[in-house]
Amino acid sequence: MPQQPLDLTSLAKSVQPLVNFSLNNFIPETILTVGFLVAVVMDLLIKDRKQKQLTGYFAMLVFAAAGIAALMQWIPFDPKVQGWKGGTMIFFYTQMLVQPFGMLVVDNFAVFFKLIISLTGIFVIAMSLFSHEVEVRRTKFGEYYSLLLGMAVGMFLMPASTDLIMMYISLELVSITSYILTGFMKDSPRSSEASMKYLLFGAFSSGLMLYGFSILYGLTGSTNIIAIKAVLSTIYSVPGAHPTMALWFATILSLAGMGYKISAAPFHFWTPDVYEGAPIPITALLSVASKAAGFGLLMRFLLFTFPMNPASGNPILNWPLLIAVLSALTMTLGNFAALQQSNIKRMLAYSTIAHAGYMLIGLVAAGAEVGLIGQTVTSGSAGIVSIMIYLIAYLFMNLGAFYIIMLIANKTGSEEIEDYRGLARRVPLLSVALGLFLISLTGIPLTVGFIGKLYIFTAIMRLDPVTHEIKYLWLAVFAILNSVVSLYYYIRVMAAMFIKSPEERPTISGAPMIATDGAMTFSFPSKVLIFAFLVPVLVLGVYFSPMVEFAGNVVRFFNMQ
Amino acid sequence: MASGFPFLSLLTFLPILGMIVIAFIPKDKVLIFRGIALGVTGLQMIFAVILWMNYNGSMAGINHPESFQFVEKFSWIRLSGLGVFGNIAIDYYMGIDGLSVVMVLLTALVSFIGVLASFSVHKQEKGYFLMYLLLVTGMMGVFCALDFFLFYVFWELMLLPMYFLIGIWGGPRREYAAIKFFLYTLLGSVVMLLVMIGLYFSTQVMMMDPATHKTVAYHTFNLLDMMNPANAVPGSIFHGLGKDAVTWRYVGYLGLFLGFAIKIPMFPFHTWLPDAHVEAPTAVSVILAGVLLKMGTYGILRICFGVFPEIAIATSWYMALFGFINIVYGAFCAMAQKDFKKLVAYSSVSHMGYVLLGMSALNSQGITGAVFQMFNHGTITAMLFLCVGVLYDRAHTRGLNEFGGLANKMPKYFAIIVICFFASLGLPAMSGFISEAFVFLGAFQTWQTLTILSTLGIILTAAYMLWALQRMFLGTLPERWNDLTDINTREMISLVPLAVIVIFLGIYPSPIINLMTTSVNQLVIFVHAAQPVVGQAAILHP
Repeated sequence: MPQQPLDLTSLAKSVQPLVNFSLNNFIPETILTVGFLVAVVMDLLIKDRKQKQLTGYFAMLVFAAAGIAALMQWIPFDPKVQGWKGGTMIFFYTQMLVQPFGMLVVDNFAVFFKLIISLTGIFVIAMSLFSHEVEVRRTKFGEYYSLLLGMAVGMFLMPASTDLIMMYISLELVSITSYILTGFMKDSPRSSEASMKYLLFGAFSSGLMLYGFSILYGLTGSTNIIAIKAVLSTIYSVPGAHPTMALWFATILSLAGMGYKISAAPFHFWTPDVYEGAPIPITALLSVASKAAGFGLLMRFLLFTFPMNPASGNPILNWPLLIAVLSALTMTLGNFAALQQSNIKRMLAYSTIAHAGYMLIGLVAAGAEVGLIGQTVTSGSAGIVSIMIYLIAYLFMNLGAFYIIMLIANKTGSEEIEDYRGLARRVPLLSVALGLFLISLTGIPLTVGFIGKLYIFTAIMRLDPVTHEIKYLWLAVFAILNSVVSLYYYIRVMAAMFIKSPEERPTISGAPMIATDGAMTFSFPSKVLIFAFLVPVLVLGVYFSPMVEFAGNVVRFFNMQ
Repeated sequence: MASGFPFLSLLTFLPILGMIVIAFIPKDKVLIFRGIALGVTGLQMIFAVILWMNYNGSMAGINHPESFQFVEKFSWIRLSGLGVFGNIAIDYYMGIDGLSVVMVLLTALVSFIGVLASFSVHKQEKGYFLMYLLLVTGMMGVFCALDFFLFYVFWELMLLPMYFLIGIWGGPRREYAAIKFFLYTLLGSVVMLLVMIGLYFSTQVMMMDPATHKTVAYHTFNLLDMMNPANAVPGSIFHGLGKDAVTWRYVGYLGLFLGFAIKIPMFPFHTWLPDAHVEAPTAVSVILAGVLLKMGTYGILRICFGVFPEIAIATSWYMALFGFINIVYGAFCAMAQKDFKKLVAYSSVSHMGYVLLGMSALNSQGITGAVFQMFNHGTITAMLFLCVGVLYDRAHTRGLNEFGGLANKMPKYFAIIVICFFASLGLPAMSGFISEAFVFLGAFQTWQTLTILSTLGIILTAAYMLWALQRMFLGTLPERWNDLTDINTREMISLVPLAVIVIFLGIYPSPIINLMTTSVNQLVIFVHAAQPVVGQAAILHP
């Protein structure tokens, strides 16, 4: 039979509605991309050096617009159906199987992360506008802000990806922009070193991940995680030899890339150096937005690639156990390493590692109840909800802490904890605020950090409905002991600020002496921004129902089919 | 009973109001800070007395929500429809019964006295009084809260102000002492948090959903609901049925107990206490010994006994054993001290042992003695620490062996200190005697051997107290103390009322004991009525 000549016109016609449909669901990313291009051009057009800041304001606006566009994608509860509609697949690429599989999905889960990322983006730009480190290189503002927008595109795509290729591409987009932003202060050797290290670790980890993905593709013949899941459940539904070893191998390799993004042990080695070397706003961005996006990707990948084993009723791989071990390792390592730091940025870097460990507990809990998610649409997962709550809490407290450190570094040029001695008397407002952020990071009640921890522990303490035992109680005990350890290093900063007297400061050889007395003044807008972090930390710590309800709605949509 | 008027909230949050006012006053107006703090705690005391006057001693409380008094109950967090966590109900639930009313009185009294003692603080007074008032709110809240979540919030609320009060205004090793206190207590409270979450999942009550007006099952943190076995969720971790269920109840009890035992402090978790006391400024020591330690024993009575009564019975011998160890070990440690304040600190360890012993008896006399001992220890130790402060402010040393013959030099001081020493060692006609007598009376019915052994503590207490008295006040006065002045009016004002209370309650203890009798009886009945859970018989009677 002779081959029919391809009718391009009719093909285009038939594809047109699909493309339109996809593009209509791609507005937030489109806004960011256009914003990125405009920012580049804008920077070229602005001649006056004093006006260069404008790009920053523009980028902030773009973030806000993208956030609003993401909010429009929110799928509200439909009382008529008495249930919840799943997400929408976009960018279909194959129709070989019964359903079309998209590259991306728009569901409330993805929207949640987009909101977190845009909010962080706005805050980070506001921080950058006050930052001296960034200010020094004001001629490169265009680069800086447009790269932030570019990075955001990647971060928007990460939690929305349902395809291995898309996952890899979005992850790389985030990585490459963050290498550049880390090395933004190229005159500073610390910054350049950080950038280089980040690049090397990043390239290695994403290589490993790609290898893992290729094995998964080899095993299942598809790169779409829904399709992979379908194939795997077919394979496992027949008794006989199962490719479990190969699957483990592929999973662990894939985890290298994602674990690196969320800086989970043992893929965390880049974190302290990069966090210390990067300009503080970028550190804040990496520690919150990029980590959140990494979590989105990791959760989507782990929860939806591996089906249940119909024979045993467990996931075909016992990945929750693997994550539990990683979680215990991550938080212990993060906390104990943080104990020994003298640089506050480095200390917070280790503390963010520890926090990644706490959040992984939520993933363990989610994994342990993965069966529930598959069975009913309305029942969410306590584990996922708890991660969402923790992310909201973590956003405010961590950004707040980094912001204050930046303000102080602006004035003193130092990030050494020893130089924080007697700070409470010089800048009471900042010291109290930093104290509250650190208290929140420790997880003491009346701050939002406690609510985050409470829900994480509640999720992991859930009883297995069948066996009536708490499967991962050991992990919960591990976590609470860790939170006691974490108090010790957070309180050290407080002790320096409030208790120690500046006169007794030990002289560090080679380090320049910092003026440890005299008041410091801060501009009014920079003080207002403190309250933008502080108020949610305190208010959500007391009245947390809205936060929990919001996070709960996210999960009810997580089911993609 | 003044119904509807939010007495307890007022009592609890008055200090917060004071804090807000202080926060807006420039930091050099020291007198105003003192005035506000004094006014706020004074008002608190007035309210506490009104509360006492209106308290109906015939209502039991304990596990009957309807017989709690001055109840305030508002829903704080209601989350329904989140199937995974269950429907969540957290209440702002305050109320008092016979156990808490005594503690509320004690807290108001000691806080007020503490402010007087705080007048000797001459450094960053603004911050000091801010922290002090926050601490008072936390303490008061703990004794009034009837919702575990609320209780936990207040419990943790005290950590930070206490850390700073020791850390900033303390002695030379203040930083070490402060962080040690913080870490120990936090360790206890995070374990408590896990048990609290477990209890939350194990308790379910039917309540109206505010959105849909349907009655649905809520998980709750309400302590009284937790006490009622009918509210237990079948198959839940602390339900007490099924495989390993009894073990889980033991684990839950011990987890809570650990949190409280650190606070008491029970041997072997007591090591933070001497450090904290020695470094803390006088007023903070007064608060710490006077009120904070009682929160541990109060928590055991209210929560451990209330939620896990059958485990409390099963493990009561161990509690008595640790009570005995506390009494004797604390006394021996006190005897070995050369520092006046450390001696008093260890005497606290010893005296809190009586409370443990009394509680472990699980009968009316024992528990009455324990609660009364909590009150008396609060007043007597507050006096002792005030006395230590008086001497330290003048001599800038606390070495017992560095003094001698002070009785002639400071006669008024000597008179006061004789009262507190004798009250502390349990001399009849002093309040300490009554409570110790009750403790032994109760404990002897249950644990003969341990009680007999524990009486050794009385002798030891007499020994170290009298020995200290002899070394400091009798003999010849060393040259260097020739210009010591006697106790001044402010110090008298803070000490004399306490002395009066101590002697008055020693002669006529009914005003306090009558407050709690009904509740204590109810608690004893409640604990003994607890059905041993399935499979527990073997553990109860080995």
